Amino acid sequence: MKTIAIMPAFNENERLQQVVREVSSLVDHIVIVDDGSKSALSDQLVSNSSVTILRHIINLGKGAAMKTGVLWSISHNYEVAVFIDADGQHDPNEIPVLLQPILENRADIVFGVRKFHGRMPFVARFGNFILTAAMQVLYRIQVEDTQSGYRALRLSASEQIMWTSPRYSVETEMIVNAGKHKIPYVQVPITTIYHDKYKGTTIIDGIRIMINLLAWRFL
Amino acid sequence: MNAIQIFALVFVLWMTYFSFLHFRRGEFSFWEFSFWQIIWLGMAFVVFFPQSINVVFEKLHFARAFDLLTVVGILILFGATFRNYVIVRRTDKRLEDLVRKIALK
Repeated sequence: MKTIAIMPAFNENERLQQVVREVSSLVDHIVIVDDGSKSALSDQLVSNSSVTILRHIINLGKGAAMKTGVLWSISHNYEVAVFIDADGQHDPNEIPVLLQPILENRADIVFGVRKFHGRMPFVARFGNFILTAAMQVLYRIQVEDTQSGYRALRLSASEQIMWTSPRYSVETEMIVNAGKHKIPYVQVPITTIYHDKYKGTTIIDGIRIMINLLAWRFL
Repeated sequence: MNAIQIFALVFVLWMTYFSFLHFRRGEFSFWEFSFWQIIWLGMAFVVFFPQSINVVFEKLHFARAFDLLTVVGILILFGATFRNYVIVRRTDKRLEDLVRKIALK
């Protein structure tokens, strides 16, 4: 199966090069979606035939960048995609663990589940707990970490999974769509890495996700 | 002419000028310009002949013209908010599609 890593990136210069280097040996290709970074990432990355950089001319959000990556991958006949953050929050060595259930035909989508330890910001732990509980009550879906972006997807299932959220609700919407269409899924444990506690989902994003959860369920 | 009428007249003239400006710049069609012009002239008419709308608020059982004005104003605000929401959503979607199309080229 042809595998691809989809990497949404926004103003990510520090760790991107290293992440790309580590990921490139584990998948057939990498597509980086530069989501309107101040200076184009293509100017900073060493040219590499196994890496494609797509650029959004303005910042649309993580969900929109992931969608662009998926559409590009489908049009280039890739079969399995793994979503990985460009900021080094995900350990590339765990890519095979995420891909394995799909390659063994046990699942169409694989969710990485973080261990919630003290190094993770309290707000992130609490927000994740609330959203996970809400997901279980509203949708009867048992995904232990609704906000982890480290996932693998069989691209033939992308039509059912495809999200409309341009920003951080994307992770939640993927789970909701997987539940709605009864897509077989597997959860695998992943390492929790936090470089910058001020990056990523904010409290406002969390509230927005909660409102979306209710809207998708009742409207 | 009392103070509120003078104030209303200035406001109506001011808005008429702006409507005409948008029309001349080609940002308003003739029908849009006419629509807004009718609104401004209607406002001027009500300010100068306030008793003319008595028949409306009596039929709708409003005690005062001001009550009618408040209800109509709130309805218009909700309508305008909804319309703005729809336009922003549509523009967002179009922008996203355009940016993606350029990225995938």
